[in-house]
Amino acid sequence: MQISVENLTKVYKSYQRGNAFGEAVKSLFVRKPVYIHALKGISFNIERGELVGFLGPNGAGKSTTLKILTGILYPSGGKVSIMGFTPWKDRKKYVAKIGAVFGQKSQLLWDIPPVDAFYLNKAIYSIPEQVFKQTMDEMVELLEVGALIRKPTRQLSLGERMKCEFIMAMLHQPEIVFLDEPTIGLDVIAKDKIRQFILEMNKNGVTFILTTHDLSDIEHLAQRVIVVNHGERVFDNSLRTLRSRLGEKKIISVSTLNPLPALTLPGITITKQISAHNVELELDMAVCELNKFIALVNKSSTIRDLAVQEPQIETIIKELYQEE
Amino acid sequence: MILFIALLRLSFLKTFQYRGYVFINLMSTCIQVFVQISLWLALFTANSVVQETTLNDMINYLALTGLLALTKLEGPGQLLSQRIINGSIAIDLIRPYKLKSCLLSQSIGENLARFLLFVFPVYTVVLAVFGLQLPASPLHTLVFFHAVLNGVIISFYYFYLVGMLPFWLQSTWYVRFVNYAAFTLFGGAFVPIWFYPEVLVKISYFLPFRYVTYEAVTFYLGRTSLVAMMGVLATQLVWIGILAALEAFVWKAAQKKIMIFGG
Repeated sequence: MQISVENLTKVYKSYQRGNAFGEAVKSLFVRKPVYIHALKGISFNIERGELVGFLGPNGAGKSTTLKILTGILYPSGGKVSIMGFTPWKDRKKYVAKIGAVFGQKSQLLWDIPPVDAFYLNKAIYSIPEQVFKQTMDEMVELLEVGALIRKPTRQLSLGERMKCEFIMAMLHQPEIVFLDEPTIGLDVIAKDKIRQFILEMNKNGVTFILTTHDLSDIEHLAQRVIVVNHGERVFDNSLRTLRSRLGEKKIISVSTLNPLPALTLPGITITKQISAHNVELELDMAVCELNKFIALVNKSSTIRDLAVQEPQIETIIKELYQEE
Repeated sequence: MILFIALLRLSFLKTFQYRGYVFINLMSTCIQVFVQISLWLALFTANSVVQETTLNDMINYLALTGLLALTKLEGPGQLLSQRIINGSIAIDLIRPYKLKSCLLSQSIGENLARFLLFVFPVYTVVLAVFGLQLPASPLHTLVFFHAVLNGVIISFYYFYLVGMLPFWLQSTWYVRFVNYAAFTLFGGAFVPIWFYPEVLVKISYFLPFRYVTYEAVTFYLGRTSLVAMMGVLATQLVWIGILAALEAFVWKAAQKKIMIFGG
C-alpha cells in the first residue's frame, strides 16, 4: 500500500467579521472565532500505479486533502502514511519523491524560459545529468513542446505553459504525482494531449491523484473515483460502479411517424416533450425492459428514429453532491 | 550550493532582460543623487563647516550610504510575503529546498545586478568629482567591511521576520511604508543621525536600523574610534542573535498555521 489515510480531520479557525459599520468597529477589539470543519475524518488507501480521481463541489475539502497529502498543511487529526513518510513531519525528504501540478499556481518562472526552470529543478532535486537529459527529451517529445521551451514563459499560452508545468513536476521521476485541476481553462486539444501524457506516465507505474471539476477528465483518466462532500467521503469505487448507482437507467430519445400516446407506464420518466412525435425520456430498465418499451412504442406510433444513451455522469455527481 | 549559484545567476541575468527598467532606474538614481547633492551644496554655502561636518564629509556620507543601500537585504522578506499573499508558497513547500536560502540567493543576484547597473556608475562619478575619503588604515577597512556584512545579516533577518507577517495579517502593504520610514529616520538614510536632536539619537540606539549601514559609514568617515567600533560590532552580533532566534521561532509557529490563499 503506497498511500494510507486514516480518519483525517482539519479544522480551520477564522474570525467572524460584520459588514455593518458598528460590527466592523467592534471586530477591531472583540473577535468571535468561527471553526470550519473542512475535513471530518476521511480515510482511504491507494495502491501503487493507481489513477484516482477526487471529485467534490467547491469547498468540499478536496483541496485541503491534497494539501495535507503534499505536506503543505498540518492536519488537525488523523494519520497519513505515504511511502512510509508522514508528509507534514518528514516534509523535505518526502517532497523529493513526489510531484505536483496545481492548475492555478505555477512552478515555472515568469521571466525565464521553461528550459532554464527545468535546469533549476535539476539542481533542486540533484538529478544526474544523463537521467535529466533523457527524461526531459522524452517528455518534451511526448508533449510536443520542443519549439517553445526556449521562449520566455510569459510569452507562452496557457496550454503551452501547462504542458511545461507537467514536465517541471515530473523531471525528477516522482513515484506519486498530485494534480489539482490540471486541465482548468485549457482547450480540447491541449486537454487531450495532457491526458495522453498522464496515461502514458501511469503505464510506467506512476501513481496519480487528481482533483478536477471537469468530469471528462475523470472519464478519460480515472479508474477509481473518490467523491468528497462536506468534508466526508461519500463515494469510493470505480467509475462503472458510480454509473450503476443510477440503476440501469438509459436516456432515450425517440421520434415516431404517428403522434405518441401518453407514456404513463411505470419506469418511464419524460424529461423533454419536444413535439407530439418527438420525446426524450429516462427509462429504468429494472422496471420496464428496453425491448418491451420499443415494441410498445412501435405498435402505437411506429418508430422513425430512436437513440439510446448512457446517463450523463454529471447527473450522478449532482445526486451525490446533493445527498446530505 | 549549486542551487544557490544557479538562482543567483538566474536573477542576476533577469535584471538585464528589461531595458526600460534599467534605464528608468538609472535615471531615477541620477535625479535622486542630484537633488541630494544640490541640497547639501546650498546648505554648505552658508557655513562651510556645520557641526564638524564639511561638504566633502557630507558628499562622502551620501555616496557611501547610497553605495551600501543595496546591502540592505529587503528582497527575501518581500518575496516571502508576496508568496504568502498570492499562495505560491504552496509551490515552495512541495519542493525539497530551503526557501530562505533560495530567496536569499535570488535577492543577492538581483541586488548585485542593480548595484552594477544603477548604483555603482552614478556614485563613481560623484566621488570622482568630489573626491573619495579613504579609511585610516587597512585594519579600518577590514573592520568597515565586517560591519557592513553584519548589517547585511541584520537587515536580512529583520525583513524576513516582517515578511512573515502575512501569515497572520491579511493585508500588509502598509508595512513597507513603516519600514521605509524607520530606515530613513533611524537608519540615517537621508540625514546623518549626528545632526538629530538628542531624543531621536537616544531612541535610535535601541533599534536595529542604525546598525545596518549607518554605523559602518560613520566609522569609514572616521567619526567612530576603533575601540568604540568594537562595541558596535558586538551590538550588531547581539541584534543578529535576537532577530535570528525570533525568525526561527516565528517560522515554526507559521508552519503550523499555514493557510494557503487562493484555493
